Amino acid sequence: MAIRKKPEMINQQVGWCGGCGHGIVQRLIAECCEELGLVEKTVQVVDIACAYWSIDTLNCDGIAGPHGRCAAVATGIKKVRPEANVYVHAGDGCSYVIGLAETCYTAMRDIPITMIVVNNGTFGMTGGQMNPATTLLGDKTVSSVKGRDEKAAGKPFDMLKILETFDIEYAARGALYDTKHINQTKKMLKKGFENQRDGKGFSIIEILSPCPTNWKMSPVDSMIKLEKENELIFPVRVYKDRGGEK
Amino acid sequence: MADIIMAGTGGQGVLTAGKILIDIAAADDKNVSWTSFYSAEMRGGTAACCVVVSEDEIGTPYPDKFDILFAMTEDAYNKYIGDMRDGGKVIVNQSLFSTCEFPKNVEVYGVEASGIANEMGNSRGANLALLGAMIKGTGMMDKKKFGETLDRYFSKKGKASAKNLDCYNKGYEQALKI
Amino acid sequence: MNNDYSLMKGNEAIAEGALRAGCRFYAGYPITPQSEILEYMSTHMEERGGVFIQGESEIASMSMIWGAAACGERVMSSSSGPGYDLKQEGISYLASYNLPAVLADVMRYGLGDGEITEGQDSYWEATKGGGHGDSRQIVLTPSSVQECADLTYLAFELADKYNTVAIILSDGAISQMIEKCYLPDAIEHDKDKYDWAITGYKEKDATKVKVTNMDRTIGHEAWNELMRNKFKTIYDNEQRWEEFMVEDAELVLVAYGISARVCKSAVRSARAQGVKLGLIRPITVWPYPDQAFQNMPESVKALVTVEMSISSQMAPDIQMASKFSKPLYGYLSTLYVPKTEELVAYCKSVLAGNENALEVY
Repeated sequence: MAIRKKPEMINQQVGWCGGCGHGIVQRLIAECCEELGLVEKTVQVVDIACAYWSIDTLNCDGIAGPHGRCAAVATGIKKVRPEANVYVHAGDGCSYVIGLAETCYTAMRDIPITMIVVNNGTFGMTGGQMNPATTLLGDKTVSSVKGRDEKAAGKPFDMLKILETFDIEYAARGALYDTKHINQTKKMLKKGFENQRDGKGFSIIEILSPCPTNWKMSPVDSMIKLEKENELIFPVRVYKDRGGEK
Repeated sequence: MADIIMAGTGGQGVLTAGKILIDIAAADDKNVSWTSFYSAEMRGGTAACCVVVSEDEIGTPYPDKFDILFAMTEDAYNKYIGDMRDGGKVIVNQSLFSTCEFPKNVEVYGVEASGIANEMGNSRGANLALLGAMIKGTGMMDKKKFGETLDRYFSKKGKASAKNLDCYNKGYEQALKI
Repeated sequence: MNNDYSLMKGNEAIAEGALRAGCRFYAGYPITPQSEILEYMSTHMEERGGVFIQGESEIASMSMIWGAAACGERVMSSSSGPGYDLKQEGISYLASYNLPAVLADVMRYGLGDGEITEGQDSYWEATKGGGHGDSRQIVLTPSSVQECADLTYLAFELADKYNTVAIILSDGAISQMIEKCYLPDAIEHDKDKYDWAITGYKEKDATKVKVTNMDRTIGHEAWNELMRNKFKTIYDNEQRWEEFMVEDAELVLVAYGISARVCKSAVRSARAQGVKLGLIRPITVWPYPDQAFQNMPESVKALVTVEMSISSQMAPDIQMASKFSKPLYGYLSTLYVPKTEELVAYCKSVLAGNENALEVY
């Protein structure tokens, strides 16, 4: 088996927990930026949550947006620096809960950025609370100790169903539970960066990702849960590909 | 030089009349301020603006008392007549006015402003007719100079029309001391 | 300086003043009585080569300008009352990375929705606010349309000079009022002149810009030092005020914004009646013009704060500035613009010993 060289863009060790999916996402981002020759032009917008750790590790300009506001921050940057390769690396809390308005309106404005949403079904940084958008019914968290109850908290919702209805360039969901899906996710991310490079419009790629620490599972069991449970509610597929034609 | 209150019903062009007045006074090297009393609604209800014209630096743009009351309706007159300084001038639109007893401490001038506007086929020009009456009643500016600047005001807004000046002139000519 | 005047509203003068100061990014959300700023920007920003965005919220708008400010652009947002509350998050973030930005807070009266009309009760929010954390913002208070343009222009210079947020604290009266305004000359801002800004291109070996809490990047001690020095430098150098007939005054009024305009009329009227009033008009309310109160003439028996608020929001600042050297009275007109003769009558009553000094707590 060939071992792929670590991208040079990653220049430090990072602080994520063992088995976390964020590191895989960051590596895929770095590989895409290098393969597309975009490193020098890249500006990362990370959310003040688990994605934050990426700000120190990637050798590019970066900004840590207020929690939930990454898409709005990225809008400000892309408008002032349209030549830059601006991407958002944020969680499902930022993008779908507190910042849903910012995400939707950035989509509505079709701002040509690449938005990467890590769906791990929880608020990781703050200690594993329920995520109203993505925690599955019955999943136990520190703010739903008996398991998520539909009566109290409603049901998880696939936000890509909303986002695909905007006139945007691209919406897709990948997953990290095996090599095949990681490679597929990379293709989606690359497509998102290419779309931006070609000035095509807003691209959003959501990635099903494990959080063994807060799920209180082993890394392997976390991957199994992703495939057997989470993917049932959050299917892996391309939701929208406008193909550059508006 | 003058603290002026201009009042009427929303849509009568009271605020515009005030803006015309400050435009012309400013061009005449005066200091001016224009404040309006606004409410949450965009249309309807009472409309009023306060105009201060002065040779000196203007202190409050909200004077307690007024030298001139420009009343497009009787309601507007009733609302502000108690705030007039002695010797003040009151200009009323007689088309929307019943007969009444005027206080002794002010001079009152009247004109059928709405009537003139309708006659001239310029139903939105009643404010201009009343401005004509005001210039005559107060003598605060030269009739012709005011008329010329009025014309320029509308040209600047891309709304030049001979009817505007006609309304103003007729208002001036027909205004009478009551 | 332009020799031709424009007749414009205070809000329009703020917007045009900003554009002439090189502001090229505006994001905001409508709320009365500041919407003309947003409307003016929507009409004129593009023709000056800038970006206008009507945001989905004040919060999102602040995040947009924070992103744009991090790119070196001159940025602005504006709001009022409950809308301005939502800006606090963004102010704290801007402060956390020393980013320059200009905000206009056009005060409306009251709590909650309150009124849409003029008020001066967001003084505390502007001068002591700034969201969570320990930061100060420069706060400038125009009391004429001319000052709306001039102080906005100045706000961009100061924001840039000190890498800080500068706030134009206007009110519903000044914002809607039309006066003559001589607009400042337009300048172009160079967004590429900073070494701290995101440029959109960095060579592989170049040091990268990381826009995040600066205490993380330079360490807490260095950050504390930087902040303390910044606030002190601003405090020492940027106090601004106007004195009007203070030299021989028996009673000195203290007021800013629309209330200061009424006070000027009151001073003139009272003097015509033989009562010696004077006026100190703070133009910056942070830093508060403490220097104005340091050498008050012997003739001054007391101070009177004149404000549209319930609790006299400015009183603690006046007492600190005057070091409690004179008794302080308050003419607090709350929802209404102060009345000139009522104010004069109040001052006569103070001088006659018939009023109680303000209790400040």
